[in-house]
Amino acid sequence: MTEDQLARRAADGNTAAFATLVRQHQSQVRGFLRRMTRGDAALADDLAQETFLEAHRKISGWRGEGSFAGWLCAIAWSRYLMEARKRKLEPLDDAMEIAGDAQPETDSALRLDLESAMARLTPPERAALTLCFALGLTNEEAAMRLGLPLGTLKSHVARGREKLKTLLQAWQAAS
Amino acid sequence: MTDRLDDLLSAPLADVADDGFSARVMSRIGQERRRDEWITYAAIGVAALPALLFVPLPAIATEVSRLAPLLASAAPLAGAAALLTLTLSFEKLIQDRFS
Repeated sequence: MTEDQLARRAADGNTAAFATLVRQHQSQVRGFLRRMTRGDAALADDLAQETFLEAHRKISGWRGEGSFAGWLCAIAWSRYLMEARKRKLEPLDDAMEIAGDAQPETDSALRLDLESAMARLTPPERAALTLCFALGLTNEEAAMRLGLPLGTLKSHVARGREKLKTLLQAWQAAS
Repeated sequence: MTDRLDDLLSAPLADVADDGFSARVMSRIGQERRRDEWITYAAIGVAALPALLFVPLPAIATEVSRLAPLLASAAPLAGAAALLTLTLSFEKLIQDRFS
């Protein structure tokens, strides 16, 4: 059964169909939120649970446009933003810069991996890079899911990549 | 570096083991559904209370007690009731099996 068929059945109140969708997508949604929460697995799982509950309430609104995973990530992103504002987890705008960390010290640079480098980006940059690369969404769909203009999405992707390149510079030297 | 970075970024997110997560989500969905049903029933009950004040309950009770023996001995009605019961049971069986 295709994802679209499952979603339609779930919209008709078929609980088993929705359970299948949850099983199929839990890893991606939780992975996305773990990256957004910079590795806080407990918070990410709480947000993922809320994401699926909201998805269940809104499943009749699923129109089959784009990927179902992208639709779930849009809900997860809005849940994350609400939580981040409530808890003041980290600045949500572009104020967060990496200037101080631009040249990582050699010993700590060796420990830098993609996730720890990602944790230094702003949330929109992390979300944009994750949707466009790890989840394979087009720029247009990623912009729609994050509620951003296409140009803004592209600049988040470009800036995020530049910052990652700087942060992973030492790794490049080591390889 | 750019190619390597793109490869890193394009790798799928690390697999997260389910470990009962899906079951917890479905359990909460069940709880929410039951809660919503109770809220609906309670709202209907509260809305119906004022209407009960205007319902002529004694007259209805008298009519029911007069008609009940007649209805109980009516064969077509008994047949219809049996058919309805069978239909609902069959529908429940199908729902339980396929949902």
